[in-house]
Amino acid sequence: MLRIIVLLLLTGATVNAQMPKGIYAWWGRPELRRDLNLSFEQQRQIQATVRQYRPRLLDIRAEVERAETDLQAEFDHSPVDQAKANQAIDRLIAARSGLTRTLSELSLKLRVVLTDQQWQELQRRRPRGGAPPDPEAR
Amino acid sequence: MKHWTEIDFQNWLYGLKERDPHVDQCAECSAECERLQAQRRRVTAEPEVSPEFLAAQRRAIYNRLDESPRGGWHAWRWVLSTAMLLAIVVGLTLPRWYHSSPAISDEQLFSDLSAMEQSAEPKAIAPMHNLFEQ
Repeated sequence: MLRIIVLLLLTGATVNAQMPKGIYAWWGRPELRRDLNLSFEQQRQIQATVRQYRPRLLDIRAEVERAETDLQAEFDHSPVDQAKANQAIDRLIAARSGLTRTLSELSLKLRVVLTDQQWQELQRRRPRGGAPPDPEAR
Repeated sequence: MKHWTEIDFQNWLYGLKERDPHVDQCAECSAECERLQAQRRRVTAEPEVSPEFLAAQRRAIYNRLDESPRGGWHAWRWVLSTAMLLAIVVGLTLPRWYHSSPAISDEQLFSDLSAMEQSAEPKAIAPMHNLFEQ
């Protein structure tokens, strides 16, 4: 039980500490590219960076999903094997940690491509509550 | 009689003039006739060719004839090799290209990742919230 509470606290803290919160594919939105006034070179760098991280992110997404499924299976197992369940918890924590780390690294690489003004504009346009902004909303 | 001229000798040599009594009696003209006749025989004589030389020549010709189809095969061999190499390259590249093409859009991928990262807890422990809320 203590381990589960720690997991709850850790995941909550991780989510609250993540930067930026609720990443979304803003670079793929024409209205944002236009509003940020991204140059051709900036767009090329952003696309290259995303393309570089994409395979790793796909793997991490699969790892998290697999770890979630494994943990659910351990919870549903009767009788519960606590050792195996704890291993599944560890795998899920590691996968989530990898997700946060990789998304943060990607965000940092994208940030350094932007000027301060573009970064401020992007923050201003950042969706509230984590949901991606409506593409039609200006 | 006077000696034959060069034209007389040439005509005699090519059968255009008969020998006359002067040549038979004149040692100088007779000797020139013999010299010219011998020189012509030597120049017009066919070269001696041995049967071995002819046989070797025939073998060489037959070999060249036999090589013709093989020469064609040599040309086709390069074409086939290139085609096979091309097929291998395409075979190795096409699946990689196919797999590297995005299965899902960036929009969908990052929407999934964002949802994962923002979920505060594993799905398996969600029911445990009821314990804390009560």
